[in-house]
Amino acid sequence: MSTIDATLPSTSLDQKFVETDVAIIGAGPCGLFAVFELGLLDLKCHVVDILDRPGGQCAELYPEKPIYDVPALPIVTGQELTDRLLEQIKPFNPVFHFNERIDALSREADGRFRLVSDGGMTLLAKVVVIAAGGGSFTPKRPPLDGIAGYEGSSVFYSVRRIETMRGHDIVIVGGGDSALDWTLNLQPVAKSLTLVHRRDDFRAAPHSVEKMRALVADGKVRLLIGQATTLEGADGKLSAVTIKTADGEESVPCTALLPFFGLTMKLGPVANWGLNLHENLIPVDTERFETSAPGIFAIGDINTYPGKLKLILSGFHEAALMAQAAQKIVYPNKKVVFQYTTSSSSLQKKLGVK
Amino acid sequence: MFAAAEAVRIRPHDLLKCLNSLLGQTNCARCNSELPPAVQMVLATRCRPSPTLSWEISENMTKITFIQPDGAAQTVDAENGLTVMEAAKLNDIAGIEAECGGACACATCHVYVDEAFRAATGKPAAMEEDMLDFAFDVRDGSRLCCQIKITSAIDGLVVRVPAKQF
Repeated sequence: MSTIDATLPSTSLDQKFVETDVAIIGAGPCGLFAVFELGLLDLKCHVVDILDRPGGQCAELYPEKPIYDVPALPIVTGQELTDRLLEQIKPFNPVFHFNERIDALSREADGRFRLVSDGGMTLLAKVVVIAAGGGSFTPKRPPLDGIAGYEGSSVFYSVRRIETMRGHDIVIVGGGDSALDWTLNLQPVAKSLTLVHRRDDFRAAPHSVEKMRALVADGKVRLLIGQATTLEGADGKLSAVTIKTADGEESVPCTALLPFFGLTMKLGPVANWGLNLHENLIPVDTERFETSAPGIFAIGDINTYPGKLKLILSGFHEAALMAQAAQKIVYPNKKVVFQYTTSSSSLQKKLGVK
Repeated sequence: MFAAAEAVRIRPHDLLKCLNSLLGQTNCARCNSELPPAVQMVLATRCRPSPTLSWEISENMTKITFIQPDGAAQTVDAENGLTVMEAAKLNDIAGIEAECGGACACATCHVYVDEAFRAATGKPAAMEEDMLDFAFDVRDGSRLCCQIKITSAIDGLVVRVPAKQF
């Protein structure tokens, strides 16, 4: 599973301020197809996603798993579907901002929307499309008593700057690439580093595992096979973690704990933007898929309406209708002529096929 | 059932009528002595009404017991071929989330298989082991129950639901 590493550059080359027609929140299948429908109507898009790559749930949860209910594709894996959609939207040159989560959304005096990300990026757009699916992928919090009180001070789910870990007694929990990569990256600066995993078998890349085993053999990293059970500390500062192994329980000195238990989806900041919500979903009308705020649309799993089905194909349909409504907002005076991609020379020119 | 009827030389239909009258009984109607446990079990647990015959042995249902952290137990009849997770969902068993719907992608259908059934249910495959890394308080007998297929070989399965799904 991927780690959310804010030190990786976004593909927009660290742009801090962006203006565009449509800001799409979420680069899953619905957000991606929205680029196509909006592109056919000459609307330029910027797409923001908290993951480090496009595909949403399809790429994060189901990349190798077959999907059987995408129209015209009897069987397609999550990753294949993502790749095909990326190919389909290529002619419209969408700009992606990965490793960013939109935290704040407000309306400007001129009616446009200001979106601010947790990485400090500002987007100004005339239309916002929320295609957030099940919510932002956030690291799973281990159900250890009191852990919330240590988050940000002694418990971390990612590391922005390696220097901040210097001199700490670090405990890393996990067996995948995130856990192993951080073990290798932090060992040189740590006072002590203990890697904890429930079994002596690692999902991470073999050469990372090899390097870890070498560090363990050299006495530079300690490997404990077991599971964390309790935290000790006070005032937000951790002092030790109890690890239960086959030999019993051991209290391991720890001033920084990095748990890597994968990602889960949380509604996140969407809940704070003043939109009507119904059981953590955004109600929309079925003509335009607009939310309770004019100019803000919601498509895909994140929305709800009578008869809603959480199917990819439903999100595709919703994107098409949303695009028509979005066009009226961005180009209010444009004469709307409905065209077919099979016959329209102007659409085909946009797609680069003629 | 037909072989059984033939063995005691009565017509299957008559055997069925006879068994019908015994539904739910634990003692012989005539002499009141207790029926053999095996027969009692068949009459009590294997009966399923069907529209065409009043009584039918269901050979493709399996019993599964879910035990909650507080000790409360629920026993359900589940159709062979489903997964234990699906049986839990169909019977509204608390504490089994199955966020990913059974795709082995989330680790929220974590259960502890009772020792008596570990051999019959088998060990997790590699993909499930990888996902178990994301479960909490993994112990011997931990399984993701969306990966346990129900067959008559695991009839009577007992699983314990953990205090929390991660």
